[in-house]
Amino acid sequence: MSDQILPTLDNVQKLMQCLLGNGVQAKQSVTGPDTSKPYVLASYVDENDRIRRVLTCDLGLANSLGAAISMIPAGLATDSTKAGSVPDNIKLNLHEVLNICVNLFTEVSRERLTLKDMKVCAAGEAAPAVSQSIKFSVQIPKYSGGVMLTGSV
Amino acid sequence: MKILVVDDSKAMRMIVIRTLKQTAFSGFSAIEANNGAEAIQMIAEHKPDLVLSDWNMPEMKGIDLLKNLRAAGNNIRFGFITSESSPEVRKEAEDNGAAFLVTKPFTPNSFEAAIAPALA
Repeated sequence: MSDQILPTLDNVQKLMQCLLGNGVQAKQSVTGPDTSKPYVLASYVDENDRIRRVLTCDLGLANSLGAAISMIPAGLATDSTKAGSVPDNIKLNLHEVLNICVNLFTEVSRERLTLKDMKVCAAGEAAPAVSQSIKFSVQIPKYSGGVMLTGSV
Repeated sequence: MKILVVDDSKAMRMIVIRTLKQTAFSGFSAIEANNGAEAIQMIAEHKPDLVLSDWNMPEMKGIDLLKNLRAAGNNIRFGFITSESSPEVRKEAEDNGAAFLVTKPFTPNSFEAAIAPALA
């Protein structure tokens, strides 16, 4: 088994482009989501139901991903981010995007992982402690985009 | 050709159908179901030529839908479109009579490569 357990920039770029089109641009980022503001947390578990990986994203990226996948207008995504919320229709889509994002982890580690939970965390709510992490910024044409963190628990 | 797309995500059903339209199988009509239980009713009613199903869904999972169909003697062509890509899942799909498994996210090319042999 490979020692690599977190996705590379190439993994993130390819998956996002495959989902949302070739115009998506991912870059490695120094900073991840600001947890003093609302953010989205996705937890991925192994076959023993233990959380092994997490993916967090700021509301800008969460609303952009959830909206862009079914072409919900960018204005709704932007307004929701400004209001500090993720509307139900975008949340449903985002759940599917984050479900597919399991492949960011399974491609590199070959472990069998599944999305256990996705939640919108309140400002200041602590994210799970991670032993390793890599952060990315993702820009989606016509949408605001934002930053995400992939971490191993 | 009639294709039944089974996925609990409306967005994903839309993306599957949009991607199918970008393949050589563009001359098809699509019908949709939200889960396995709904799919069984749709199959009885509409008799599609091909079922493209998600793996994890509420009510009835894709693998249970496939097992149910085969147990009832229905040999409809069946493929999975899922974020599950482990060897165990692939084997379970194959052992139960699935023709292919396409991993999400997919491209028109990966769709075509998987579906073409199943329809040959």
